[in-house]
Amino acid sequence: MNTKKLCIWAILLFILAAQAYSQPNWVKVLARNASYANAHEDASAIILYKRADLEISKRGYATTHNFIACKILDEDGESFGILSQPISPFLKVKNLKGWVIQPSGESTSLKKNEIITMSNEMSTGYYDDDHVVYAAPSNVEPGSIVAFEWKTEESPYTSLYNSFTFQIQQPVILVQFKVKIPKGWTLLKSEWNLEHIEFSKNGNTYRWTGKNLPYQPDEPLSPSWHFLSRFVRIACFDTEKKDDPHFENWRMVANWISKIHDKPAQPDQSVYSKTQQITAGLKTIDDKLRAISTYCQNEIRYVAVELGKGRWIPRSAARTVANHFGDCKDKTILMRAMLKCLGIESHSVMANNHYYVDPGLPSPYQFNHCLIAIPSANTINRENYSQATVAGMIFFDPTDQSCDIGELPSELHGARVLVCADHDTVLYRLPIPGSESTQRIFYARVLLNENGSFHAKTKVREIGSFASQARLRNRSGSKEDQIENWLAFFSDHLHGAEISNLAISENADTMTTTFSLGAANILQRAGPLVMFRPDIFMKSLTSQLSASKRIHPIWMGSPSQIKTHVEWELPEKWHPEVDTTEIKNHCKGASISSRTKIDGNALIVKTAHRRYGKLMWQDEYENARSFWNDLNRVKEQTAFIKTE
Amino acid sequence: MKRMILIVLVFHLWGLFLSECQAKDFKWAAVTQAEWAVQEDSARGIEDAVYLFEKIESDERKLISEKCYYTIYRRLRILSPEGRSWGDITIPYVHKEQKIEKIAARTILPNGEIVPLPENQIYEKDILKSEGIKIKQKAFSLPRLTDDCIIEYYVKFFLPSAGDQWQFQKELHLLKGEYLWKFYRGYNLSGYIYDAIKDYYTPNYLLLNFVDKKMNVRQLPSLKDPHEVLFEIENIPPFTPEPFSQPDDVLKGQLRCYYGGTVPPRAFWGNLDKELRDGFKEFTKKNKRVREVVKQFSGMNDIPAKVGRAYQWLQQNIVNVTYEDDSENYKENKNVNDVIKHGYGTSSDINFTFYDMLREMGVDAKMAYTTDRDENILIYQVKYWQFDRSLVALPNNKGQYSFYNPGGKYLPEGSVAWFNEGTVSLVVGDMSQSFFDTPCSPAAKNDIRRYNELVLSEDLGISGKSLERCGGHVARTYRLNLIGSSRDSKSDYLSKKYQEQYKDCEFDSFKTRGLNDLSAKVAVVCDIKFNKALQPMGSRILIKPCDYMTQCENPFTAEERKYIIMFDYAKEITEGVRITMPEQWRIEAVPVDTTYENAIGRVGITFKKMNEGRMLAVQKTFSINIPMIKPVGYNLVKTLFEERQKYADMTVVLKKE
Repeated sequence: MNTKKLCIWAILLFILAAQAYSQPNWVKVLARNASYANAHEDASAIILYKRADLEISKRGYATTHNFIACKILDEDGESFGILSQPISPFLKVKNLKGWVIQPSGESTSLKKNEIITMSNEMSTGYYDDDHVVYAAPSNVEPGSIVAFEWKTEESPYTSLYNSFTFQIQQPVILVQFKVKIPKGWTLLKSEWNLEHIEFSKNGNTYRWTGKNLPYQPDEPLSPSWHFLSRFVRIACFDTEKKDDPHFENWRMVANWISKIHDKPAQPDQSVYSKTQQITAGLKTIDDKLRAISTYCQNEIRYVAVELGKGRWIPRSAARTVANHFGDCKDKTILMRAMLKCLGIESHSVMANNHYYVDPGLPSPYQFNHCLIAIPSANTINRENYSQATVAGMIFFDPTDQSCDIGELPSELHGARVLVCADHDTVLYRLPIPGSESTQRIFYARVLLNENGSFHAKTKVREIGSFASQARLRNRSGSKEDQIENWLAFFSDHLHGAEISNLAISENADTMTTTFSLGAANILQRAGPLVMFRPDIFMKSLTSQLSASKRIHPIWMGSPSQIKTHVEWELPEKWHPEVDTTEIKNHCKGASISSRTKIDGNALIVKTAHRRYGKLMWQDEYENARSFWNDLNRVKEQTAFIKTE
Repeated sequence: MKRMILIVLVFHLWGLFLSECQAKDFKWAAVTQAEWAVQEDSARGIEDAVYLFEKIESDERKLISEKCYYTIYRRLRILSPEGRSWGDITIPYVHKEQKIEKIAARTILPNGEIVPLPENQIYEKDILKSEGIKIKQKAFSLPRLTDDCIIEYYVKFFLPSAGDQWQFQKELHLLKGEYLWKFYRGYNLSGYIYDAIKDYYTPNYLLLNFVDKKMNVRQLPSLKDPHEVLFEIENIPPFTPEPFSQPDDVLKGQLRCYYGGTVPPRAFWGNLDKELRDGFKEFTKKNKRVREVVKQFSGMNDIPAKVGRAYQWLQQNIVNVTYEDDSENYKENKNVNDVIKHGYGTSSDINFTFYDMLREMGVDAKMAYTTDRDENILIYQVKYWQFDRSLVALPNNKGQYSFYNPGGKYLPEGSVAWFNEGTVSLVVGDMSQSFFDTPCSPAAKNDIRRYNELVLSEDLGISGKSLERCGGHVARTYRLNLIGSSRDSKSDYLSKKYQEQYKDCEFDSFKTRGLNDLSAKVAVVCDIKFNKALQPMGSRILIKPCDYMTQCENPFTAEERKYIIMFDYAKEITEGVRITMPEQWRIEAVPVDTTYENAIGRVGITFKKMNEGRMLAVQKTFSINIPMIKPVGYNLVKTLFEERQKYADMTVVLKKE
């Protein structure tokens, strides 16, 4: 090669290198204008620009060109200087580039050694091939602007379902999501909190644009950030072609799942033998059902193998019996196979135990969990399963060890689930137990001594989800563990508490725990006054509704009820007084009522706190505040005794 | 084509041969009745599962060629449903550097049935990948696990270096442990060369943290000509971490195997002393610039003044690159002249220069080396380099040494970092002994005073000003985090720190003083607002004054203590809060003052009603006199913290007029 050619090569290489390391125009423009971007004083970063251009090819491949630029405002905001992009065997990252621009104008490019790929899940007994690519430039600090540009390529298995989040908490200057689908295809969308996002459609291109989305403050008693965030989920399909995966409606989704679930759910000899073994001697179908559900729930250890398409395709029932382990779908399949051995046909049910499932967006990728539906016609005592029965089907989660058949874990209360049968099916809504069905009732009879020590005989009755949790603790932990749990419950407000004589009994859906409770001193003394909090079961509130204005809705918790009843016998000649003998308040989300009765040296306090599982909106904030104040009064209620 | 077939055939046969060899390599041990008889025993720490045995073999016979084999054979008995999680095994390794040659595992059911792990149920994945490094993992779950089965697995690694440590104390009780060390005996070296290096390549070992346990040590095949050493230990209880301890890895029972000299420890440290002195000579040989600098101080007769000037000069004129983000971009200093010429140096360079300056001025300074006690402790019997940091030692009038560390940023003269206090330092060149204690700073030097001047408003909110003044290690922490930071970063740091210390508060308008003057206290002033308003109880309000001070917890709730209690440093904390009441509220009653003192420290609280009950003044004190306390002193520590915790609920009563 002569010198001239060498020079040309050198110049070409230099141009290529310069292109790779210099910022593209979009970053330069942002850097110039970013100094004008002001934000809320609590904001940690400003999302200056976020854009994803998604294009689906006719063959179903999805290519997304992503852009993001943030201005870091404080040390907490430095986390926004790290890009994290999940990848999987179906989704690859290409051409990842990044830049950091300091307030001085100095700029650096993302280096290779600042990109790390890490496994998404490190826990033992969980085998998957999901990873996350992290790009973490080392010189990010408050004042820096960090920008990334990258492409993702997704193969047809998952590419036809996608989501894009416009905003969670930090302010956003400009955000855009663009989707282009092939001609003749249909796009379905599910939008959440998009009231400030403009939508437009031009031919087969769909575009959502948001500008100047303000900071979302962190307010007490708010719903989850997922609920408050703004996002869109889309699914698309070729209207003409009906090949898999093609999800035009829920029936197609149900058929697709049923196709991959039904075959593994065929029992073989080993499953027959195991079923016979665990149901031997049991006469009623209900007893057999209980034995099988307990076996799948407790004997089959939770171990997940979610490799490649194995994340959707369950292992055969025979394999799960042989391994004695499996994940949610494996447990479901085994239970279906065992029921088949008894002549009972059942169905796999898809659910999401974290997020809301949108009925307008038929896609298997909205789900992350699998349960079983058993026709209740097969059972004798149907009322035992009423809390978990919908449309003649008993729903059961063989993965959750706290719930017996007839109960559902609280994260599935009210969830939309898909019964995967090859006939017509719809999304069903699982029942939400009312506050009467989820109760914790405390009772104590307390003897207080002049030196401040006390001794109480205590009884706690738990029903519904409270009972499920207590049952799991009781089955999996020792008596010492239970005592530790209760001591932890009292640790914040009853210092130095001691527990003895603990006994636990299970009766249908109720758990009853009794124990002796005592402490060396429960009294506070100031001058001639002696004080104590008569409701030993009430913990102080950890959050306050002190702000004068409210932006987010208020969530006071899922339906439940906590009742306390404490009877005190004080030293003779001690005549307690309290500021108010009765406090009552209620709002849409909850209610409280507390009554204190004093008779000589006896004091009785009774309290009932109900949560209704209803969101309260901004215009109900004053009611919520007033309620919260009274709840605080009840929790801080103090009895005074004048000793001089 | 024929050639291709031949190659494939050879590879296939080679594979068969290898797998045959590997199978012969290892045999499962027979399960004994005694192993089936093992039951849960909480008194011995046998709960959920137990290691029936662990057998490790470290084959370092070809160490010089970087071909070592390390095998792990573990057998566990599952004893409860919770114990089943021990059947999920993960084995991480560094791709290309390390290799897993074989994995075998099986479950043995109580009826004797054996369920082997199918090979296709061993899953491999990348757990971390970046430029030049890939960490992979092989993982599996044992099949057919029950609550009372036995599981066992065998893993054989190929490693380029020796496995130097056997940590036999684990999360579970270990009934029997074996470590077979096939040490290096001269493979691939001529007898002549091996004899020459033998004195530096002799196998050494040391048992740590379980000196009261009997470890059987057998040299095989004979004591006269050992090729390998077998270590056996029994009944090791599980490790239980304790708060305010040294790092777990330092405390766990372990065996360290390494190659070193044949000489006893005393001689090893003596030799090291000599080697280090030769190194110092080399680094300080060219020191013209040092001599020029110390000429400036020639008028001083007083040694402390000379020491002080030299210390100050280095801190002011030499950039400490150890604390710079881009330290790798600085050219290495070859000698003390370079340090002064370049105007920068690592912490060690700066300490060497200080040492040389003092010696040039006729001060008998010595270099010293020590460990960071938050990471490591020095073990005299272990004959290899264990130090984390250099210091400079000056003899004092008590026959001991005072230690200096000008290479530690913002350390005032005569101080060392808190994690070097209370350690043992090697003082190089001391003729009488090698090791000396590095003293701890007194509590009074690390004082913290916090005062909150607050007002209770008509709507029962509490807000006001907060002032903190501190010295010693606390002040240094502020300096390390705040000097050179922008105003916003300073506010961020302080706000985060205060948020951690106080309960549900907002802070604003942070100001600092005394950061740049190392001899001064650091002061932080800010506005403080407590988010939780007080709630009247009819005609009364209850105030817990400690809610308006930094929050305290008692980490010492356990009945007993096994390991040394390690605080960062001795300290004295005084916290005061003064609250002015609104017009219609007066203080009705205050708790009585109280104090408690023992050999470890002191706590106390006082309450004052001022201005006819319109103002409340509360002062709380807490001091720890000794940063490191042996377990025998645990009850004193526990009582001290329990007494302090009682203050949290002390209540002042206000009454509406």
